[in-house]
Amino acid sequence: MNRKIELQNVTLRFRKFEALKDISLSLDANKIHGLIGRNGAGKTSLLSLLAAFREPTDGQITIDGEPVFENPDKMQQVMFVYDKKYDEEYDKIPAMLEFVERHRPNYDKDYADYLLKRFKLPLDKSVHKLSKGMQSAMNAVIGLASRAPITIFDEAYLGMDAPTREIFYQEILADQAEHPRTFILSTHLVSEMDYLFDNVVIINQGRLILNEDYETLTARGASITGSAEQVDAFTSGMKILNEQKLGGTKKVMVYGVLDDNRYVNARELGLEIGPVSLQDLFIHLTEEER
Amino acid sequence: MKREKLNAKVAFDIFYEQFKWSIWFLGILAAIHVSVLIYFENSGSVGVEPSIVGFFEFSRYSTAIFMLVCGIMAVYVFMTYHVQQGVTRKDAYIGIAGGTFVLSLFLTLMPLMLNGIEFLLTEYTALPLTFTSFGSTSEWLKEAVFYLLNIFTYYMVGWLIGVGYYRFGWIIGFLFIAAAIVALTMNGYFWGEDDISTVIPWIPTIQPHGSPVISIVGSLVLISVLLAVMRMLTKRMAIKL
Repeated sequence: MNRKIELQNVTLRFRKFEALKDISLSLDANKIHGLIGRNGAGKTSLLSLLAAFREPTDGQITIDGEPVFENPDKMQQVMFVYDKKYDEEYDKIPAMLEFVERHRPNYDKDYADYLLKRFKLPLDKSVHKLSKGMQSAMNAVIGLASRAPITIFDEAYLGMDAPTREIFYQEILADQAEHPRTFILSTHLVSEMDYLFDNVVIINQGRLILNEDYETLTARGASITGSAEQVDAFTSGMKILNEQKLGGTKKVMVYGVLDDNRYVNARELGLEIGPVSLQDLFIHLTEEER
Repeated sequence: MKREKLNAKVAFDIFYEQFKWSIWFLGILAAIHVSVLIYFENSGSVGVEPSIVGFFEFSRYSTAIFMLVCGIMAVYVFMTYHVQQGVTRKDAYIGIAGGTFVLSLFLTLMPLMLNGIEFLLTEYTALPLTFTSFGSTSEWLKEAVFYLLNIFTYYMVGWLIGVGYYRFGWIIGFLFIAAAIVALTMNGYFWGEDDISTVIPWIPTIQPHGSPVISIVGSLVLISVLLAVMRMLTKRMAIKL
């Protein structure tokens, strides 16, 4: 089974407000997909549809050709981890994990124990007493250890400190290498997570902006580094996304594909050309929509 | 994983969780009951043995309210958690209904048993207490069935209120409370407790000590209607994040 996710003309409406507008896209199996969008872009709405938390107003969502909603086999394959309120959760972490274990056939207890140690999570405290960052880390453990074929993390890092987030990202990559599955990571911390993504989906104001693999996407622009004057001369007339200057050196992010002539030209001038950052592309692409 | 097995698993989980709550509930209720007994024993005038209700009768309304509260929480606790772990609404629904039925059985049998123990204690020890008697076996059985159907109905009604608030917010939630009051009034009517005929003249009065068949059938119809409504309300329900 390849567990391909497909959305066909998916629209989600709340009364008059359209949270998602006619979205069609397909996500390949066993890849890490980054879902990025600004606040209120519709990321969580989209993911809650994938996880059958709600039904689309129009359109269809399928996994391997079968609709997800109320489909026991498909729902069991999808694990949706989101920023859940645990204010009333008097259980302790082991009890929470036991429940996950009962319902997730691929759950790996040893892996969960390893992760609990890695995140230094206390097992003898009620979950509502844990700090926000610890609750998020527990969510990360639930999602990772479930080994669900489709694991969705919706801004699961909220409240985690930087070292904890780093552990989280490392574990996603490490586990993906050993137990390939489909990850969907929604985020607006683009610069921090971009190296994780095989594929990037950008949505803005409920619309799909793009769904491309990371390499293709970052080839849509370039970063040009060199002496300030030469960089300015080289990039004049190009769409500039971002500029940084340090002494006489300047780094400019441009949007648009560079042809071979430009590459040769740049090399002759001694300019360094690299990929554009996803963060700058993201800002640019979601600004243009306004 | 087999579908039937999943249903049973969800039902067991839901039963077990509520079973844990009910142990607390029964424990506290029993403690209150014993305190009442001690109070009666001390306040009873010399030579006269006070006749008081046994635990079964004592617990009737408290158990119903306990079930109502569990029912209100059902959608918030069980539905959300199960759907997040990939259980369908249908399986969660069957699990809640099935698990709760087993819980109702437990919560009927336990007070009966405790009542029996109380009865035996007063019979064979020198405790200066006399419990009101149940009467004949058929009366006793009828009371047990009533108790069972009654607490199960209260749970369903609580579940109805919970889903009403969960789905539609507090204003429309009030309409669900109105519906709940209607359902509970009907429930009382079938068992000859509430006399609706004083309000609606053309409705015949059901005699409390009349045929239990009408009561049981009426109660079962009410439960079926509630179950059908709950399925409709939860079938395509959005789960809140």
